[in-house]
Amino acid sequence: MADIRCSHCLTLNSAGSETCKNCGRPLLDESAGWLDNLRDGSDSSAWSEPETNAKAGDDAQPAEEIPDWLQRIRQRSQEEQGQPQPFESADQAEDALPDWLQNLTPASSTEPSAETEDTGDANWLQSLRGAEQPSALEADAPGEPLDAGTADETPDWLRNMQNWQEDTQAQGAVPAAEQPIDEFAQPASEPLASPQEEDQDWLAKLAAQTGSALPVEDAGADWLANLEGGGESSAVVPPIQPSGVTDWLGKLDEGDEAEKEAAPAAEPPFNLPEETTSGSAFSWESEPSAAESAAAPENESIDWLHEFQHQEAPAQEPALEAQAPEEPEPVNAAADIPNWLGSLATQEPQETIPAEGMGEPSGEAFELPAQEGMPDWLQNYTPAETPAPAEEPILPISEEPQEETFSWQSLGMSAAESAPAAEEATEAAPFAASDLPEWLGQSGSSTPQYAFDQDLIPPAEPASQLQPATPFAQTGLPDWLDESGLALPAPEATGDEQLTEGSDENLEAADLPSWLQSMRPIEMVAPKAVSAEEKKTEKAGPLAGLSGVLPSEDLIGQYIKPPLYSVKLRVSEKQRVHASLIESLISEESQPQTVSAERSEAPQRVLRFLVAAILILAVLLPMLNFLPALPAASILPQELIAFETTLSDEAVLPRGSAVLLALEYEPGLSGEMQTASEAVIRQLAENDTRLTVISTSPTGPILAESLLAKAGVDPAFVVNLGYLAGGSTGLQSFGLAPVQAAPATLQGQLAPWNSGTLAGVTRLSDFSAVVVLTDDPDKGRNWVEQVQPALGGKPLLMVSSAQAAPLLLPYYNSGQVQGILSGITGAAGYEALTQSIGTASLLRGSYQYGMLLTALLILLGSLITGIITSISRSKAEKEA
Amino acid sequence: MRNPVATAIAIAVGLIILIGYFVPLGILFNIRVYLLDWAIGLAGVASVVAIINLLLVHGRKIKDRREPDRYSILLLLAFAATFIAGLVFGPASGTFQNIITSIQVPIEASLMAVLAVSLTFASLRLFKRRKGWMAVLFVISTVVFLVIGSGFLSIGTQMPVVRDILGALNMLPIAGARGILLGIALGGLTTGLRILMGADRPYSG
Amino acid sequence: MPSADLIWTIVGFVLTLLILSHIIGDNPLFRIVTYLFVGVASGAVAVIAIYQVIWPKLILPILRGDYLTIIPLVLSLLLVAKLFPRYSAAGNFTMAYLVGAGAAVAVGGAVMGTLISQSRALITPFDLSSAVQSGSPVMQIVEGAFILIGTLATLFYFQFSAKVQANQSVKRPAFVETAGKLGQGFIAVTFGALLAGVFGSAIAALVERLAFLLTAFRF
Repeated sequence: MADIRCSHCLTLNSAGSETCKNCGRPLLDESAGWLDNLRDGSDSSAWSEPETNAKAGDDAQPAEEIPDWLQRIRQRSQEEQGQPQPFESADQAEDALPDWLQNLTPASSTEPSAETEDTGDANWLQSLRGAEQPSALEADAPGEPLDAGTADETPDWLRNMQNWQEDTQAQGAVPAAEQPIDEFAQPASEPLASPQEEDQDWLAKLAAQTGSALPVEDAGADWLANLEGGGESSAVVPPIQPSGVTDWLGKLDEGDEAEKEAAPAAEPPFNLPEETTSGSAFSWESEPSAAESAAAPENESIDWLHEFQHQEAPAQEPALEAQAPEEPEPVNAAADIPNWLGSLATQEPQETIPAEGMGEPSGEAFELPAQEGMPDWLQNYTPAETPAPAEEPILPISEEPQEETFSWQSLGMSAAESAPAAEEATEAAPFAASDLPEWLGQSGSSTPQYAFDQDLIPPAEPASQLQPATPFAQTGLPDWLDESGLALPAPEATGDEQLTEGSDENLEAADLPSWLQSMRPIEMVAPKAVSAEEKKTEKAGPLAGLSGVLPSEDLIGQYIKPPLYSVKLRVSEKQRVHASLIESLISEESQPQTVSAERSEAPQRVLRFLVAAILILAVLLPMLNFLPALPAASILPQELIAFETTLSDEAVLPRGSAVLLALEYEPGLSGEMQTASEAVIRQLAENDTRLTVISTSPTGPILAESLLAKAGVDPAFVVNLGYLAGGSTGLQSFGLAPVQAAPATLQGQLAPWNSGTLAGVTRLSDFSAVVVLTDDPDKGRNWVEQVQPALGGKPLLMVSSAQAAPLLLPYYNSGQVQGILSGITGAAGYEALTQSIGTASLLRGSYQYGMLLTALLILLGSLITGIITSISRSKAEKEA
Repeated sequence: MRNPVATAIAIAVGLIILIGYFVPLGILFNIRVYLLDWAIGLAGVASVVAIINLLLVHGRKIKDRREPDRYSILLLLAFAATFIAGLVFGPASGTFQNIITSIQVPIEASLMAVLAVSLTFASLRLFKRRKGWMAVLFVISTVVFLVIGSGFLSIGTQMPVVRDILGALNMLPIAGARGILLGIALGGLTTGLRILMGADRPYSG
Repeated sequence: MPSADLIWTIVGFVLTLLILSHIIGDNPLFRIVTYLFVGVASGAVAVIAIYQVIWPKLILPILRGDYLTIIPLVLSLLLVAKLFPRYSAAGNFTMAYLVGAGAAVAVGGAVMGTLISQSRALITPFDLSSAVQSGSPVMQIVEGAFILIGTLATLFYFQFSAKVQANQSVKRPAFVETAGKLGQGFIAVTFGALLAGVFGSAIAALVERLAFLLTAFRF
């Protein structure tokens, strides 16, 4: 079983619930029931949950399409009354009685349920009246008699009214102020009397509540009967027989003709609460239920109601049309429009209803024009202040009127908005004399009085497309009749020109409250011309029927081709050259480079071994006397001769003189140096020379000990001063102050300067000579540079290796060194000069053979290599 | 990273020593002696620091995980043995001297002997790498002086031409050597002056 | 019981052979001996430096009351900081001292010992008085000229100052270029003589080692 929507707050309640869980009011099961029946075949999404305006727009149907619910209503009415389908065309709609009137018959009520009908009708009436304005019930008695239409088409609400009327009659005239609203919510247990009786009942009740001696029964029956008296329309309201009601209705009939042209604003027969006009949950307003709920008039039809019958009912448009502030339905002047209705029609359609504050009083007080035949209650009725009129007419949402089920979302209002609105509306008691509902105040304006977003409201149909106006459908009709979207034909009041003008084209702007106006976007306020795109109606797709939709199809075809930018680089000539360079470099990297095959090292090793073997043999053979030694050299170098001369000069080196011996060679060349200096040391030793040994090499003192021992020098005549650190700095220090520079000996004892072996020696110049044994030309140079100036003319002699001699000769040539003995050759020559035999003489042969072999090997190798190179080069040149 | 104090020390010490070369002042002489004497001690300490650094390097080589050098253990052991023996016995002791004369001398001398073979073998392909008149002259000079050094030309001849030729040949390297010596001296002079002026600071970090 | 000399002789003999084995090719024994050599050499240097330098020059004077030696002692301690990277900056003062003293000594020696003397030696042959005393003044002058030209040519060879020519090429002056070429010859001859001398020393070492091997066990 479907959920039940509360007619007041539109809250969905579970099936079977009797009271609304939100507002606590009884649920209009009956009304919801017959509404559900209407809704069964249609999309009920409008009621199930809030919808967006788009969806509301989606649901919009072209004007030519009749919504299902309307069709169903018509069908029912047809079934009940056997009348043809009404309002299939505009012309027919104009002529036919409005559906709501046609269907206002008790028999037309669908799924009558005594219980539900009572509660349902009572609820809508409650919602119409408003809980806080019970006086409204008193003032505005539900006087309009329901047209006694077809009994079976009497809507539930009407039936409930009848019941209520009966009840009130039974209970007596009860002031409306005292009567709680709940009176309308009569327990469902009350048996539903006949529709006519029901109508009379509720009317009576209304009259009792309003406090006026309204012949509720009569009034209700009268107007209802009048409504039904059209005969054509099956939507006839069941007659209600409240006496008070019928009187004023009767009076209205009398004044109908007089006030026909005045096109008064339609005044509702009862003071409906404001929220009802705002589209509350009252189903009767939202649904085109008027067409269906019109009860069959039981009483005699009122003339003005008859006039409504003749008027073309407005097209059986969906409720959405009516709710949109579209072009109001053409108000065809009803010939028999009652004065009160006509007076209502003349009201300024400038009043708008705030979105939520349906109960907000407006600044304007609606005053019904004095009408003859207007019931007193109606004359005394001062509507509540209507809200400030809107500054601009409400713009339609789309061009197509909305024929689907009424949806508050299409009005730009959500259920939540409508709920408080409904609540506020309930506050206002219906038929309150002091506070005329907005719908009443806004009579004459066929535009919806809701302060909803104008854009969401589909554009109103042109007047020609509208169904013929029916009573209460035009501006002269009460708002609740207009806003329900009923395709009610406009009243046939010919004098209702204002309604005619304002209904079609000049939509009256809703009177929005100030706070809502401030929220409105500027674009909404500023009038904007409808562009061609906006006028364009979507013809296919889910947005079919809507206008102003982004033309997707066109967009696809209208896409702008993006500008093509050339990806070609602008390269200058210089950059091109550089790029080609880089490219060539990169390509070279990728090109495999020919790797020359590695040569085997075996030949090299063999050659190396061969060379070593030859050398070793050349050295060993003479040593082993396998090769005869070469004769001694007869031509000796000058430096050697000078060395020998100096060293053997007793004037230079007297016997027992002190000679400084500097061992400046490394252990690697100790063999050559020992060989070369052995003879010199021997000669010095033979001369009883006191030798003072010093070395700037750490291993020098050690080597000196070995040399001296090998030379057979008496250690008593030797002072080993040890190691002199610092290199040239130490030599400089030794040259300046040898005592301070070399304080200790190798043995760790204090050097015996000026005593012992070093007797009389405190400076370098005290030495008779300085003999430097060096294998390094730099060390020899240091001695020459640092020490020789401090010798004071004393000879500086050098015993050098063969490798140091070339660089020490300039010092000999310059006179800084008095003699140089170099290598084994020099030692051998020295030995020859001194006619001694030493190691040098023994090793001279090996040395000579070694040197000669080396020279020979170098010469041969160079020649062979040169020849091979030249041959290969010539071959390469020939090949090239 | 500049150190103005170190620069000042280097310049001051150098200038005092250098001025003492040309200005025979008594006080300047004494200062020079002390400065030079302290330099000798510091040079000895520097050699010890260098040896300690050598030992630390080889110690790290042993502990290195990627490429451990196992031979460094021998180096450290040999150092330890020599150092202990020298400290215990003294540098003048026969043991310490035998260590030097029996280990260091043969090794170094043998290395020199191997150098002879290597040099000879390398000289065989001299023309393969070096080309031009410079290379030819070099080879010829080497050969000539090898022959001269061997004493083969001076064997048993009293011919004055040979003597003059040999004399002339012996003179040839002197010119070049003198030029080299002058160049070395000039370079040393320039470098020394730059250091004394503070332009070069090889001691900063 | 073999004498110590025999043992040391054997040690020397073995080490000599191990080193001479490098003639055949590199081998682990050769590498062992080289590491042994470095260790022994470093140990010997350390002992000698302590005995011959540190003790008599830095510690003994302080013990004798020469407190001026504290300065080099402090400098020596700063020099030890060079072993620690974090504090190595402290050793810069000592290094500066050594560098300054060495630079001054080098400058003085280069000037007084080489430049002046060698320059004087260049012109001395042209002294006619001395030339007459030598007996052959012409030869002396010729030799002097020869040496002078050679020396100058060698110096010109190491002169690399050049000018940018008009055709954007960098060239030395023609005189310098010619002298450089001549000096190149003298340098080639000198280097030949030097190489011959190296050969001589190496061969001498070879001879000595072979003689050692032959006579090591000849007691």
